[in-house]
Amino acid sequence: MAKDNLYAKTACELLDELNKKTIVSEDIVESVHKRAQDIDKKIKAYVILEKESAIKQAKESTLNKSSGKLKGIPIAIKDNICAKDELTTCASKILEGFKPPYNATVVEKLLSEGAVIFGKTNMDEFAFGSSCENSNYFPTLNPWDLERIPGGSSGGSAAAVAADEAIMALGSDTGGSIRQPAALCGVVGMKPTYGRVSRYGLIAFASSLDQIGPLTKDVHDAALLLGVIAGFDERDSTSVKEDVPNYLDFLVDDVKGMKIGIPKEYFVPGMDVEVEGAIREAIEVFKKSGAEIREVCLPHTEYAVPVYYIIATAEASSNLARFDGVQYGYRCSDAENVLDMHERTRGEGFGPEAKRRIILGTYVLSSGYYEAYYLRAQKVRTLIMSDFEKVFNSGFDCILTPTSPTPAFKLGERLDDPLSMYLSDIFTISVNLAGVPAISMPCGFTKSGLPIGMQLIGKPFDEGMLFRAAYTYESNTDWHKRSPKL
Amino acid sequence: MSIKDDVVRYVARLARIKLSEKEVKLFAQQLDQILAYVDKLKKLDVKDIPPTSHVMVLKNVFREDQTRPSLTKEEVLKNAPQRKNDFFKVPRIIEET
Amino acid sequence: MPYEPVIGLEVHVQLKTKSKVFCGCATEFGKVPNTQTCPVCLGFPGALPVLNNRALMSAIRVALALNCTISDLIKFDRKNYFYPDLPKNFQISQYDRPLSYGGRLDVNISNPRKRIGIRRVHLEEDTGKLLHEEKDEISLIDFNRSGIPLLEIVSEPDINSSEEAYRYLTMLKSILQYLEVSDCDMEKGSLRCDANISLRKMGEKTLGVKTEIKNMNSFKGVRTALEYEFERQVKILESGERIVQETRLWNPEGGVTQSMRSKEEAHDYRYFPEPDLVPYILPQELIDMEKKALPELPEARKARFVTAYGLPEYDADVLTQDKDLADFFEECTKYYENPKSISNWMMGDLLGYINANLLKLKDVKLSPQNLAGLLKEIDSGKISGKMAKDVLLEMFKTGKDARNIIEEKGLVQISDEAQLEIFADEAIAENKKSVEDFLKGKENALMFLVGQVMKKTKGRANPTVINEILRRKLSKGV
Repeated sequence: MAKDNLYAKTACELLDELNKKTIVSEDIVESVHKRAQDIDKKIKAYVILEKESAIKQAKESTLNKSSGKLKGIPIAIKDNICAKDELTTCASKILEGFKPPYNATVVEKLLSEGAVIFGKTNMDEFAFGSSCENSNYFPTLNPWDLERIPGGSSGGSAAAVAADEAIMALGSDTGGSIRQPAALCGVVGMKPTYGRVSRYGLIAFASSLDQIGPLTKDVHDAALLLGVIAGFDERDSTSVKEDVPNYLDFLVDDVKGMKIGIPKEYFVPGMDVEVEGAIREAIEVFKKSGAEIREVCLPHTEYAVPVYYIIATAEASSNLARFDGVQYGYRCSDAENVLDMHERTRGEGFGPEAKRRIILGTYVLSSGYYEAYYLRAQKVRTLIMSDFEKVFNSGFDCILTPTSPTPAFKLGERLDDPLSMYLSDIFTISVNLAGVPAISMPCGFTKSGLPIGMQLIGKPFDEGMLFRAAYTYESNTDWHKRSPKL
Repeated sequence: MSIKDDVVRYVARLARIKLSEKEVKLFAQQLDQILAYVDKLKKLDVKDIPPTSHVMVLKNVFREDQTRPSLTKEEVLKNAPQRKNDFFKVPRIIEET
Repeated sequence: MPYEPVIGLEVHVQLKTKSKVFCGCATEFGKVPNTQTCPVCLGFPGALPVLNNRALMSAIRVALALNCTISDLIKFDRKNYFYPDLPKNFQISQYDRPLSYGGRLDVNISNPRKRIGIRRVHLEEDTGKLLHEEKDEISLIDFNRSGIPLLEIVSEPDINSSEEAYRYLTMLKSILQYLEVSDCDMEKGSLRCDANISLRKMGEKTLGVKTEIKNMNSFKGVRTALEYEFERQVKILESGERIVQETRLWNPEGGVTQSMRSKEEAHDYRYFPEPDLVPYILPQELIDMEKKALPELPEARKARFVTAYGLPEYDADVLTQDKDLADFFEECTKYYENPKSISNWMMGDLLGYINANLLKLKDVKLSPQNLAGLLKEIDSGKISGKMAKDVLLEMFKTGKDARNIIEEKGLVQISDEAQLEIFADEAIAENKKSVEDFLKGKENALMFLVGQVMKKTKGRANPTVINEILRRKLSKGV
């Protein structure tokens, strides 16, 4: 088998070859690394890419006799997931130089299944953003159009997978940060049910919304990766003791009788015509495959973005209070006293979006405003959750929506208007508020060649259903086989 | 309602972030816009709706009272911007509220 | 004095669990700095808390012992503020749904006892420890203490004197000790107390402006500090001025409270529910079971000592204040039949020794059986009561039993009349003047002669017998 284009394969294809012993793990690492060297200067998906470490792990994996579901496969990790003794900075100056003395649970799981930790990918600072432009390092670019953003905050992971600079990647999703970049980059991205995957070692943005999930080239790989990282973790009190099924069992090309709901609130006037067109065609694919399509109502959809920007920023303002120059990361120079150290460290260490969100979050929790904002938002959250419950309780298996209202926008286009940036998340945010799982997959391209993504939303812990629907769609289309010209 | 610069300064102090005057004005304006947008939540009647703090109906998650190995002192202090022997070092604390 | 103090006490107690409240780090005191820490109690990014079962149940027991109602839903909240000893710059505590509320503690200061309301008992995590180095203008931080479970016990402002405050604290400590949930050692910081005090004219119901007093390091310190603060506030009010609401630090050397920079506004802690911890709902059966399983508490034990052992209330009070002391007493009664006698020796010599040497009962090597043994030796006349005190002192230090010490040191009391007659004769012969004085009517002269015999016998003469012999001989005019 030709070893120089191993980078273009999926994990499942590579596992097959590894099994047949036609290749070894080092071959994969070499191939992907060369690919990254060739193109990452254009894409800038990675913030850390250490070949020696990856080769060393690959060699160990080859020598190691034990089996592993991801044995020998290199995986890119978003820079907000702790990797022991590796730089983990959340793309923020305030965490410069930070090397956690421990691995996130998901990293431990990957290692125990023989995976090779390949590098750390770029992101919006502390996951605050939908474009990867808020990184302290540099913006990542969309492999399909280098003048456009890849989406965010897991923009680095999505771009790396899309450009075949990573076989698979992990991202995190708080309001759409896996799904939206997946859609904008033409790859598969999934946010699992809240509590499905351990958050231990994920540097927190909004604790009641965050989840880690896979970004992959196809649905099969996503099912494989989720199967490895999912599961109860005693170190995370919000992790659920639900058995992890074998997600690969759900990869069948069959949606006969599946009831799919199309929420009318997700087809709004002013929506991008091409996005709407692609989604309508996707609906036809499901119809032809035997699914029952019906319109549903998620009446509180219009309140999701405001609820999110109160709850998420409030939680973030508290989670980010620990970044103060005392124990790790950046500390301002020549502080006169602790107050000065705190204020200048944080003033200099955080980027503008981080500061904006912390200020907003602090404001909505402050005395006199708690009831009007935070408490009210929590109550509306209950209404949003019950919208989904009602739809699922009335017999629907999943819900189909566009992932993003528009394809990838140009660099700098929304930087000066935070509110317009926040509205990019309009279709993904409700999912995090309700804690349900959702997957995004490519379902078309614009005339100018930009990917369009479709989102499937499922019941809590029913990722299997989502894989079945997604796999069926993928088996009947070939969007996922296209690659950007690089 | 409009957010005045003073409010931004007060909140920035609560959050321990030093903002330049330019930032204060910019944030005051941007926060104003964002809060005007989130004000649409006021349209809803939520009087009898319970708030959601946790999406999953989990309760009573514990661990047993058993010790686990701690980090070594070196692991703990290796990221410290400043240290003195076994301690983290910070500048003096002026009693401030 | 037309004013009365209105005092509320806030006590923080470290719970004696093996591991910390949200992580598995050990909780031992006095270890090398930053060696009992992990990502969770250090607040490293990505770390998450998991509640220690035993910390919760210990807290429940304390709440039940204080007659509190256990909340039907227990939740944790974040208390947000910046301070270098607080690694996350928020403390996981409890705000609107504390573990328990609405309890009481009855204090022995009057008859009937004074009831002090307990507003709430809740669970939270302790902070790290700061060391200030003045000359270098730096502070050093040790996070070993960060994450140790802390119980916060808040009283209602029902306390109306510094003495009541003192007794409240000793009673509270007693209860906590009986429950075996804490060391309650103010010196080691496992028990801390802050006070709020305001004044009002006697008979009024409204509350005055209060000051918060911190940095009191002992129960006596609390009492003294409150006395001082009361006087200070009286002076201010009587001069027509107003009390400033502020926090004041007690300065034990100077004997005064001193203002910290005054707080214009209260802290804005921006409490919100802790998203990383789930709620706790304890089934009523569990609570009932815990209530039944509570050990006999000090008040109940004291009452039982009075009825079962016929002890006066005062004795019962002293003996039951400390659980170890009470256990010692009861154990001793298994070996010796006169409880009052045991009580006297414990309250007198034993406690005297402990207090004078700043010890704890467990540091003293006396065992209950050995005390009983000593008392039996006194009863049998083998040694005098006075001699016994010296023997007891030796027992405290060596742990040996009385019989051994008496024999080793040759302290057996001489009660044999024949022997004593010889000594008596000697003393009389050597002290003619005393004899004359006695015959003139000076009783003291007899005591002097007894003393002389004691010297000769190295204290071993049976005082009653020698007294009798001397008196007989002198009266006969020998």
